[in-house]
Amino acid sequence: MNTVKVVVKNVPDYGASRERNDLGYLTFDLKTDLSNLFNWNVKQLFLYLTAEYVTPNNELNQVVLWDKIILRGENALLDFKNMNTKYYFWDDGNGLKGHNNVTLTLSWNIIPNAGLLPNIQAIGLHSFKFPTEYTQTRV
Amino acid sequence: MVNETPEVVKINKWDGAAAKNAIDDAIREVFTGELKCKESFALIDGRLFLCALAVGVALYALLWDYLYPFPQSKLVLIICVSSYFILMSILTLYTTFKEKGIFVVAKEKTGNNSRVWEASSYVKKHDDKYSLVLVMRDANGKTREATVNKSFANYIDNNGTVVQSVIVNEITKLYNSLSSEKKEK
Amino acid sequence: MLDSLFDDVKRMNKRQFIYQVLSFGMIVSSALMIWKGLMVVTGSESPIVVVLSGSMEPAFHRGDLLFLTNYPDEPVRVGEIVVFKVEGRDIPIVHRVLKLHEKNNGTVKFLTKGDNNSVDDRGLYAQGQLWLTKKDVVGRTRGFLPYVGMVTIYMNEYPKFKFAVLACLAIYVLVHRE
Repeated sequence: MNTVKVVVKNVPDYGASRERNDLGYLTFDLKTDLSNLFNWNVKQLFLYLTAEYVTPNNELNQVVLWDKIILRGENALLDFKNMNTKYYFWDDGNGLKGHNNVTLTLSWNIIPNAGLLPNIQAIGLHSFKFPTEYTQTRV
Repeated sequence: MVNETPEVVKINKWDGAAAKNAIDDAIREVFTGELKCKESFALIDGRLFLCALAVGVALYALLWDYLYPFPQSKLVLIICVSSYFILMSILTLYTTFKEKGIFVVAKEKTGNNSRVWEASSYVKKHDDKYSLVLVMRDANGKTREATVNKSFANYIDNNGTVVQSVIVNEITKLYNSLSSEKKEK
Repeated sequence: MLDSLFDDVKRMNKRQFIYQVLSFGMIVSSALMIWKGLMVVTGSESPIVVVLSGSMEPAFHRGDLLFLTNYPDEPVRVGEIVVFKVEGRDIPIVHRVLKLHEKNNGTVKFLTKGDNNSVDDRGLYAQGQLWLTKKDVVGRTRGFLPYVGMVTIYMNEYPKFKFAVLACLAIYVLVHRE
């Protein structure tokens, strides 16, 4: 149902607050069809792409890289190529360099007209690695 | 000199609840007045005690939660909330089964015996019938009961005033019939 | 009509009056106990919250009602909508979790952002605070009802309205003899 493919990965190193934290950069392809998730009680779908990984500093890290709101009635067939992330991929520490297993998953939050608000993760995920050296070039 | 003129109570004769209350009050007066009984408040006090206890539990929970905010107050809250609803159930059982429709409990001393009279009344919605049940318990534990089921119109005149004399008659009749217990017909 | 209301009161004796007051007390207590009961069941200090701002539109609008839970064994995850309070400020904020870093001893730090805001919430946190922690979270949103919370907003913005409603309720219960 969806393919999440990661293209171009670099790891420059910036400081967000006095310390220097790893900043990851990537672009991605995303192809999915969510039209059969909509029914009369679905007001909108909040889609988000999460990068999940483990570092020595933190047992669990989850970072949303991109999100999108799809209202009922809008086109639910997505086909993005080389999308830039919406949000900066900061790590809490320096755990991204040479990381072997960062998993990208697509999830959505169903917002009903009234009722429960489930968060559902798509089947199909994509793992990628970060390079072992920092990049100095601007991306 | 205290001049006791009984208050003439006027009610809206179409208002069933008000009519019932007015007649109930009049009957109470007959027992405490003509029949010289002493009203017992034990039943009502029981109800008031349960209500006060429930409100007390709720206030205690409120205070405790204020002093030790949630989630520290969790245990106390669980105890208070459960106690409250248990008390409410007990209260409902109490009013339904123990109190029923009883509006006056009067104690009477006759000679060297004492008797207890319980009067309860029932009115159905939109029905003009006032149903009175009078129960007498004597010192030996024997119970006798009598029922009168008549329309309001018998007791209340066109102006909406309770006709006390009719009430006195009715009650005296019941009183006498229940008092003459030994006469088996 | 008002007269006939008070006729009933005048004819009440002491006990009946006490009962009326206690009846009123029990109505208030019942509401209170239901609320505290909800707090215990959901684990949240504020299990039902009204949305106060438009920062989560088009998902939630001002006046919507949210139902929260705060179970310790269901940890917050990214993408969930949480209600949190910034230290020192009483207003609950309803936003979505954007980033999360959790250590193996259980301490977590989150970053949140409103769907309708273009920047994350760092500007909303307390001075010098960069992340939210578990204790700032009031609960996770599990369900919602639209518009129902508008009554609460009116009552808070027009205190006279709230006062009038409560006064009428009180008078009705105290005076109406069952």
